[in-house]
Amino acid sequence: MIWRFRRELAFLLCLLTGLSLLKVGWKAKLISSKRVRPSEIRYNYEELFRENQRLRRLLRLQEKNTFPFSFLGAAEVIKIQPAVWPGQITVNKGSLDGIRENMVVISPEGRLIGRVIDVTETTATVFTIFHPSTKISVMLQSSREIGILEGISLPYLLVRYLPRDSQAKPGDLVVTSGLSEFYPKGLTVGRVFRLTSEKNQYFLTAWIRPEAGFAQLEEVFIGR
Amino acid sequence: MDGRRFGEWLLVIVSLQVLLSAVLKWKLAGPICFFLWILFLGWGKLEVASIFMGFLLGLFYDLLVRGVIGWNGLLLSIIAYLNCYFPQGSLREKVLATVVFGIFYSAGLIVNPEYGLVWEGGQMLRFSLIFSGIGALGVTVIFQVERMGLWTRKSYW
Repeated sequence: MIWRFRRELAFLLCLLTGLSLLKVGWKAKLISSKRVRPSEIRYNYEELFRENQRLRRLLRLQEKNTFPFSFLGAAEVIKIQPAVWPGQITVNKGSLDGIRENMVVISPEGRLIGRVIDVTETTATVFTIFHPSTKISVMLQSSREIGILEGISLPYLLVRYLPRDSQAKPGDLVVTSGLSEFYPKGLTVGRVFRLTSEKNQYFLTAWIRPEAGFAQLEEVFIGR
Repeated sequence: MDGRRFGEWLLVIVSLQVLLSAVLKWKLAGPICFFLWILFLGWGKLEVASIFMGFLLGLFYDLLVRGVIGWNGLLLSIIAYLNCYFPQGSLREKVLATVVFGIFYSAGLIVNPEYGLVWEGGQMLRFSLIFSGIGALGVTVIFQVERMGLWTRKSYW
């Protein structure tokens, strides 16, 4: 009688053993797949360490406030558009943190990034100096000549309307002139890369390489 | 098949499978050697042995590829059991059985230990085609060789 059902019995035995083993094996596999590898721990530790260093530096700078602002808040960049030479960035601070439209955004080193255009309760949208709508009054630090900064020639910026007999030369520092409505005087913008003059023009145009590290933009200051 | 011959075959099959899975790391072949052997055991009227061997070799394969312990054991023992009731007289029926069970085995790819049931149609279809294809080819070759009587000669070893 038993011999007649030998296949069924053998199968049943394998099935039950297999299911029990599977239950144990499944749990073991799940645990091993969720286990954090030592290399990941190392990575996370380094990431936290670096972030901590950055934030400490940011806090020191904010407390010292050597920038020409009465209000200064730090914010984290949460979105960059486009990824290279961004025209627009979004930060994680908004109206609840005291951020308002037209506030000036600078890098932790004090280089000009752009201006706040739109604010929600928890975020703020910033047009950077690369944005095509940028028009800021700037001056060459050495010669004190004033021009208009435009962000229409990626990856460089242009300073237009410099006098034709300008003393500007490559390497000169360009800073904000303080004549524009929202930007205080003396914020670093970039350095002159080359100078060009167009035919039938009365002015020189300076090509500027921005000083702010847009490729490593993680935290910014927003001030007024 | 006596005990000694069974042991010899087991050794050959396990060696081939280890070569495929651990040395050559040909994942698309799956446990093809074990799969074919348990089918042949079933066709050779060693049905209980095929069920047990399906289970044990499946477990071995799980260990070999570091899969979920018990998954292949369960699948291969189910295949071995169902094979007992599958028509298996002619070559055509054997090839059909191989393809059907190959597809059945491939359906096991739906289960992922980390995410549960996942549907990856393309991957499953590719594995299913390759696994069943190799299986059918293997069955045809072995059947023809067996038919020619090459393996029944006493001095072949």
